[in-house]
Amino acid sequence: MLKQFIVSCTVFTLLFFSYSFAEETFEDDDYSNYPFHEEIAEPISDPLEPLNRLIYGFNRAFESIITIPVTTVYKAIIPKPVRTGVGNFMQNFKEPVHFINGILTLQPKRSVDALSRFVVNSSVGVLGFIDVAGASKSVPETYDLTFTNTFKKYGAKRGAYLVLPILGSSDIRNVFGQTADYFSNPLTYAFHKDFMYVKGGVSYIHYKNEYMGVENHIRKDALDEYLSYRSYYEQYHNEDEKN
Amino acid sequence: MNNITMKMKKIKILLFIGLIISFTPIMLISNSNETLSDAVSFIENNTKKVLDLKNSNKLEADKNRILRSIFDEIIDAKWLAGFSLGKHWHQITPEQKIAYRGVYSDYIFSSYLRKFNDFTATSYNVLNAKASTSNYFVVNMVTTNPDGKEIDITFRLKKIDNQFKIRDIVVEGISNAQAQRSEFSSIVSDNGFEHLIQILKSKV
Repeated sequence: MLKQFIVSCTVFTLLFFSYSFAEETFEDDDYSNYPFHEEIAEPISDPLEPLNRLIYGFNRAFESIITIPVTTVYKAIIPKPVRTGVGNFMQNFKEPVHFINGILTLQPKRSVDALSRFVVNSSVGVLGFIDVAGASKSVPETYDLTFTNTFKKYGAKRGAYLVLPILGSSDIRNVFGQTADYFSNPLTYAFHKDFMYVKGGVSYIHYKNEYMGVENHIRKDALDEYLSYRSYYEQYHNEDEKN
Repeated sequence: MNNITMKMKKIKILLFIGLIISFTPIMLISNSNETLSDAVSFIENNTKKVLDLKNSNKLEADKNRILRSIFDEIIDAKWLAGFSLGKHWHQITPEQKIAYRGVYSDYIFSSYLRKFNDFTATSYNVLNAKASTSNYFVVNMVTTNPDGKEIDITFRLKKIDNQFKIRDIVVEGISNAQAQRSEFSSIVSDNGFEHLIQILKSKV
């Protein structure tokens, strides 16, 4: 009786372990147990797809004729340290907006970080061309403190997917957010409007230069470029949605 | 005497059961750690294999052939084909599934071949691995480009028959499989399954 009990325990234990450590040996054709399925916090809606596709087509033509040649010259003529400086200047220009949104989202410490970065980079960093605060890692980055994220924090949904002429992928919340960023920035009113137009153009070319490689990859692999772009936009902003 | 003997036997049984119970978590933990380190090694070894191939002096045709064999070994193209089709996978016939898988495998290899040719990272560092449900594992890596820019890459692996297979590669938060799923589903919904097959063939 006792021997039978011990043998039963041993067999049970062995069966338990073999079951626990067993791996599937059959072809797993069941996609329902894929653990990374429900990742998109707020799937994008695209009720204006026909119009968006038209604008996307225009944007591609604009890129081929204007953007790519200008970006190519920009990259060829402007040395990398200068291009980095341009990017730093553009980022520093937004810090007043980050300061405002830090207050609006009740993050006073981050608001102070934005102000610190602006003061340090504008002075020691020569109007922001040198990211002194970033290089010294003395002040955390604040690039996510935008009106788009403030609207999101207070419950505004993303809204319909939009393709803006020349500017590309966006959504309704982002359009309102970036508009608010522009008009709330004190620096917008500190400079002549011609300077702002030039700054806008340089910013666009700089951004396109940074992401041209990624965009080429998307296009090469895409079966439908428009759908690929939309999917990448949805995923890229999904981390914001999940937070 | 009989009472003492019975008591001794009970104590022995309890000790025996106690040993099994205390040994179980040790075995579970050691097996789990071993699998995570296997997942890390899998990614490290195959990344090195691919980089060594890229930097070798072999002819392009030879590189492509070797890359294809590595690809077939480590990428679960069969599973990805079905995943990419989403809800439409269960709506097509078994013959269509076989044909689609063949075309899809060639298409995704072409896609990875392009990435292989454009890959310029000078170094990589496999950071960590963690286990997910249903025998899935996530391995995180960071690569560094010549300009110093770092790129985060996450590999999603499945262990089948004691072998790892990559089921998704997530670059800077963008899932390749998810992007394809979104794209393929839309194409099939709007233009039909055969249209998707034609486009895939044109991309190979």
